[in-house]
Amino acid sequence: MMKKLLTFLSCVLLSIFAIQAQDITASGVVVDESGVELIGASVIQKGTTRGAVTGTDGRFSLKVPKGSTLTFSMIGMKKVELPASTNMKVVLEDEENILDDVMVVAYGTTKKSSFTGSAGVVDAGTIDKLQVSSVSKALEGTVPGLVVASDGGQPGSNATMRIRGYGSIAAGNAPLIVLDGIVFDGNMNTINPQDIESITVLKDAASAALYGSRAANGVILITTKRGKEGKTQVTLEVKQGINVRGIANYDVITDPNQYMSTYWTALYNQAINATTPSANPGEYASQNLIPRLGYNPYIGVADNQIINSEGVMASGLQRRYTDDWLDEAYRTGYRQEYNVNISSGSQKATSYLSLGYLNDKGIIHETGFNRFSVRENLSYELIKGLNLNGSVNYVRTEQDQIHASTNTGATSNLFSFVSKIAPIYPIYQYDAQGDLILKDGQRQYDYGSNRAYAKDYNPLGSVYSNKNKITSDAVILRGSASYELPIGLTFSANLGYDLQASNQSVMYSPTEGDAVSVRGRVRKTKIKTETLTANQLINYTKTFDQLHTLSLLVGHESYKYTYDYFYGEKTGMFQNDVDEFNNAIIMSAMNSFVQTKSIESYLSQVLYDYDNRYYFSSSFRRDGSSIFAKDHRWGNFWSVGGSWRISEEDFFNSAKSWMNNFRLRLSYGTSGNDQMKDIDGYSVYKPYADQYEVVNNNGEVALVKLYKGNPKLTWEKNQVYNIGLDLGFLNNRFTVEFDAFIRKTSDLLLNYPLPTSTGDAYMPENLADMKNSGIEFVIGADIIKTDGLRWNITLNGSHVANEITKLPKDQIQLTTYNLLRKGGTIGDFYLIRYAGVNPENGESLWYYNDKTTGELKTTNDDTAAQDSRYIAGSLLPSFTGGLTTTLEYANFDLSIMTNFQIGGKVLDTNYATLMGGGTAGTNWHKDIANAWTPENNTSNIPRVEADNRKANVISDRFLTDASFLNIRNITLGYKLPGNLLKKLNMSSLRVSLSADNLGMFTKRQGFDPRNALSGSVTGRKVYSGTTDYGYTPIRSFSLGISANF
Amino acid sequence: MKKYIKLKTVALFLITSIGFSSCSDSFLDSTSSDIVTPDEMGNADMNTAAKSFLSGAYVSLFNPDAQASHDDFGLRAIQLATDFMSDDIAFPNPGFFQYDYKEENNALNYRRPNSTWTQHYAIIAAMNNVLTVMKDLDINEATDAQKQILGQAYGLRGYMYFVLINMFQQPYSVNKEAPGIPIYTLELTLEGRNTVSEVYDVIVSDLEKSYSLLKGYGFTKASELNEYSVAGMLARVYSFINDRPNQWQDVVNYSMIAAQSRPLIETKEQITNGFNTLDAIPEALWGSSINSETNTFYASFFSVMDPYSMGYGSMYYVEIANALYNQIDDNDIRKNWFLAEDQDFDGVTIPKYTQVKFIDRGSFTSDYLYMRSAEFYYLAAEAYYNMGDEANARVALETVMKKRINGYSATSKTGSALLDEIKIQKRIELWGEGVRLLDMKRRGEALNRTASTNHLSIVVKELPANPIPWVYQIPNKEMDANENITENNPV
Repeated sequence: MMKKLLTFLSCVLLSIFAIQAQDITASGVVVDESGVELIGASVIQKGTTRGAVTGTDGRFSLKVPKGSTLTFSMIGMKKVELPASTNMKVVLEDEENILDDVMVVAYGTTKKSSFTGSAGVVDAGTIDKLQVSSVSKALEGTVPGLVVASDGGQPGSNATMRIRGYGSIAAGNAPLIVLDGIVFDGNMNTINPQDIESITVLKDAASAALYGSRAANGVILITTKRGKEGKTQVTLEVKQGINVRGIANYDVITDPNQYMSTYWTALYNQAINATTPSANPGEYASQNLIPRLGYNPYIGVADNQIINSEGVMASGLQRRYTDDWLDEAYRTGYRQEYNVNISSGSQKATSYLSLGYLNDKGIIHETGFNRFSVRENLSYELIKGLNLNGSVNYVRTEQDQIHASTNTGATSNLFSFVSKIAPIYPIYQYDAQGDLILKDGQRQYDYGSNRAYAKDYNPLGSVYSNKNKITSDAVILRGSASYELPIGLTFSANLGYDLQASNQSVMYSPTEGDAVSVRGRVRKTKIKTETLTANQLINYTKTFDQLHTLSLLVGHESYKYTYDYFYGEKTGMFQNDVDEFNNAIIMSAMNSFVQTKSIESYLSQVLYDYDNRYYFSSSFRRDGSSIFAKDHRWGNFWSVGGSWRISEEDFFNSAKSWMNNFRLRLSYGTSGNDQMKDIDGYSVYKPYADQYEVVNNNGEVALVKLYKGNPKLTWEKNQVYNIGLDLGFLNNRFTVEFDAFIRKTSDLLLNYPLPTSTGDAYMPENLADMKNSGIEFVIGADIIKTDGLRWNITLNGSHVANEITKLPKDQIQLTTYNLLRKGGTIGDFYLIRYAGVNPENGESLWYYNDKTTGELKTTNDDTAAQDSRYIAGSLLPSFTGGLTTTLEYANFDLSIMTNFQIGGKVLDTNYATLMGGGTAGTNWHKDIANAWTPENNTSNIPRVEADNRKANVISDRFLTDASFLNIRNITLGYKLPGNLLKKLNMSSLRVSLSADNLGMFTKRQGFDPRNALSGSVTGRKVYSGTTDYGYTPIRSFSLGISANF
Repeated sequence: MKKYIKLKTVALFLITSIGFSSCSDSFLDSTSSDIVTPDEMGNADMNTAAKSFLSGAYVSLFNPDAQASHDDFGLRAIQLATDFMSDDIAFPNPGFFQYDYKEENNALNYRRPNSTWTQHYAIIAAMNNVLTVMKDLDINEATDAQKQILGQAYGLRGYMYFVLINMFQQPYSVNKEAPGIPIYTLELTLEGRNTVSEVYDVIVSDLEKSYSLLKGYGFTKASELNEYSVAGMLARVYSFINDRPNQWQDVVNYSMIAAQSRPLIETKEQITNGFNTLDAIPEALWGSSINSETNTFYASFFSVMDPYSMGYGSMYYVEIANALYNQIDDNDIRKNWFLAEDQDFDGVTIPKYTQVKFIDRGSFTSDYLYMRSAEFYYLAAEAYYNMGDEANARVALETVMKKRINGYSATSKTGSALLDEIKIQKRIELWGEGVRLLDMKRRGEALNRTASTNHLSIVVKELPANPIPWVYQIPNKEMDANENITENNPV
């Protein structure tokens, strides 16, 4: 393996040092019909990829061999071809038809006009505007049918992406990422967004089927920038900004007096409603108040005198401390980003070199993300017809986390902690008089050894005393060699090697917090992932009679992924802040293992077009995956597609004056999915076999069963039917792209629940079928298009209907609250039905069906209602979309991006926790003020009652409308005018002000429905349908300068 | 020449690309060295495989795979829950286990029924694995090691069924035809609710097989089942089967085997050393050895119990119901298990009656004790009494009690007074050791907490004999996935 790698590296390096040229320099100016200089027009030597772009003065220069022809083009303009010479003046006319953009597709590029499938393209301009540290977050709201949930604010964290809904249940739903032609398994945050030229999202099977087994969830193709022939261009970009909290907290009680009196009432109600009611409930409440809570937050008042037995609060209570957890938890983080890139090229070789540095500080102290990246992309023509391409990318990232970032359920989660802790506890240590207890002049954090809420934890202190850092080194290499024979035959070989070595170091303080009992804890996790992909392709393209173009592709590809894991843990630290094993004595864990997955594929494709009117495509791929047992390993995947440019037909000529483009696309294809996950969302590499864990039973080897395998398990299969329409009106002033699809998934990989009495919780099976059908559209309109002013609006949207079409039995309880049933959706909530509050006594009531009479009755026993659970709604939204508008005036440009969701339900479990009967030390939502009382007996909120688990039993009461509107980004830019630039010797300079995540509007303050999609920040579950506490999303403001020399 | 070098480079590149792709059969085999699959156990002989499965079950007993919360730590948590449900623990400021204490933790959607069900059945499945591995073994040709593995597997499986049937149905004496629980053995897969007596058939058969296989190998270590701990299990089981001919004689026989197998605790030092180290408890018959690699920290028995540790016990003090405390003789060394007065510790006041019987040995790495020999003197005494043999009942009782109270004598106790004495001394002896609730169920005793004044004032004080809250509902997950079970227990 090492040897192969060395060979590969030497190939790449050899080609780097070989730029050379000697020819004539063509130069001139490109203008439009009215003589205005065109900026950004492309000048390409015909028959090559060599080219240049005009500057702000409309001028270009390009070295080409004598006698070559130059092709001048620009979006919205007709192409012109002229012989190369010096001092040229080229006039471009407006074109009616802009269809012929080149787009990146599976194993190559194509003209947009000949593309038969369904895809969305995001260009560099869109990505540039956003202050994201992971490119995954830049895609939110950009492409219809692509749902991006960027609910986590930890700098450097990735968003969850789903294309055309959920296609799978137990298998992965994440799309395949392809970086520069090769599958990319690395962390998305290692890709510098500034290096990206374009992103293509392949949605239907016809466009993705060439990726066969891996394309079931769609494909995202990321293409990085390459050097351009011509004048060397230097681009410098600087962004400076701040991060603040993007979503407000739930509206919880902040007044300690209110909390104390509510908790007193809860105790009072507990006393009168207990099986053994207290003779003097007021006395019970007053006496138990402080022993339960553990802290008296006032000065000079006896514990049992704070609220008397009549429920009256002592007057003139003086607070012992006024610490505000919610306020102290957050800060304003500083964000800075610097990028330089140099694009240069000669006739034979081009180079793109970029350096990037990002320092993104989070809104929680000691959290942040640093990235340093360097990339060199090279193209080199060795001899005529023989081309080498290579890229080397090294990325160093450092992510400072808090424990909260990754463990959403834990008590130590800062976001959960500060939301849920009652406002009666101090952050720091105070004495009885309310004076800070200082040590060496420093405030001491109060870890609450006697606090009823989260004893021995203080996440604000742990931020400083604990450590949690991930450093990662990634190397991304791409290399290809291709040889083109004049007869149209091309042989090419491509290699991709991605290496990421990450090292997470975690330390729990030996002096503060919950690890004191073990004298501190050090953890190290080292993960090395490698992906090696190699393919060999033969391509044949030939045009006959100038009408028929035929293109054939056959190839072979092999892929191997290796995951190399080491984890160790020691306790008993000597030095308080050294997070190394050499500083600790007791080994408590040591694990290491290697997992590999491999795929071998044979692929082929036929493309044919006739007279630029009729297009046909087909593909076939055969894949073998190591995930399945030998007999079930191989799968065949194929596709056919066609499109018809009706607007190019003679009979259409009369309509062309108002409708310049009318194209119909049809496709059908199959793809597969082998990303088998266990019930917690971790990849399973041998799902066909039972799996045991080796554990230590006091020096003896012990085996504990972890997983029940299924030797018959095989591919999950996807079939997608797609029909699309592309329309352009009034010379493309208004455009519409419309797609309708049916995506059928069969042999769904399912973790089928077994009776737990069998000793196994579930087993993987290919059991169910599912159908996603939907529509997607993009409507673009240049509402105003004058010389000075341009206003454009783009609306994209999608609707997906999901249906389970086959199940092995009537219904399968997938998780506690989610049910699969035939005819239902994958996101159905199966809940008991809340019937409000009994006005007599304030108890919660639920509906149930009487077994004998069938009548709908109410009960105060939620377990009796379990048999009467019903489908209370679905997680899946009715509509998702994005609205973007740009306004350009003179040298100013303004753009606003929004995304939104209509419909869908989420179980707001965060809110449910805050609406409990009364758990000592846990806060309430302010809504609790409206809970039932004898006086307020029409309330829908049950009485407060300490420790009563029935007060907030999960039911449809907490199912919340998940519609939202998110103001994703607003950017205001200014371009320096040309005359000023000349003085500065620059070709362009743009200054921009930008704001991300400016507003998120949801049903309830603090409620972010997006985090139900990902399940948790770790993204482990298919979906949870519930809310939890991840790193809260951030709002960023930034000032950017981009200069071109 | 230059061109040649370039071509060579490209050729090398192509060869590399193709070379990697050579399609050998093994290329398409996954690696997953984090786990072991049955194929990969091919190199382990039958004994090693069986022994490893058995060993794994011993770990699962205290570190269950499906641990759900800090009040969930396997068999010891389930035992402790039953103690909280009975009358001898007072929990005035209740933390974890408060719902067990309040007699309201039996519903199908609560954690306790779920963990009890899942964890016991996981061990049953593991034992079936052991038996499957050894199924072709001719018992007449079995080695000592093989017999011991088989014996332990049967013993552990039988005992798991015994705990399950008693938590998910009323005791045998109430209605042996009542719907019980699913049965999985190598021969039987009965996923429905088999009757209580059918489940007892499996229990008795397993434990008797176990005992005869282990007999003669003696006691090696408490963390593995042996003939004496299995005898103890049989004694407990037979005490439930009220229609068994010579029921109490069998109980006496097996009780005495278990009781006499280990030396009794003699000194105050032994009795107050925290019950945290199996090797330091002379009476230990069965428990789990735990270390810094296998422990479960805050989610552990000693975290809940120990008032001096950093765990929950230092905040939610676990106390003895003071009516029982008051019945402990002042000369009884067991009185040291509970604080006689409020105690200042590290700036806080630990209240009177707080237990100090179970004290962590540090960092929550203490061993768990499931069974010790002293219990069986009391059970033997009760059995003798039930047979009408008061003299031998007194002897059995005095044997253990003389080690607790210097010069103890039960001579004055006769008739029901003798039985009451046996019962009360057993309650004191086995406080917090997971025995009391099973005794109450078996004897049909009602819950009565009224005599103690340190209970949470609003806790349930009285329940009739064999009340509904003492029978768990079969958990949701099982009801949803098991088509053979339609009827659940009342709640």
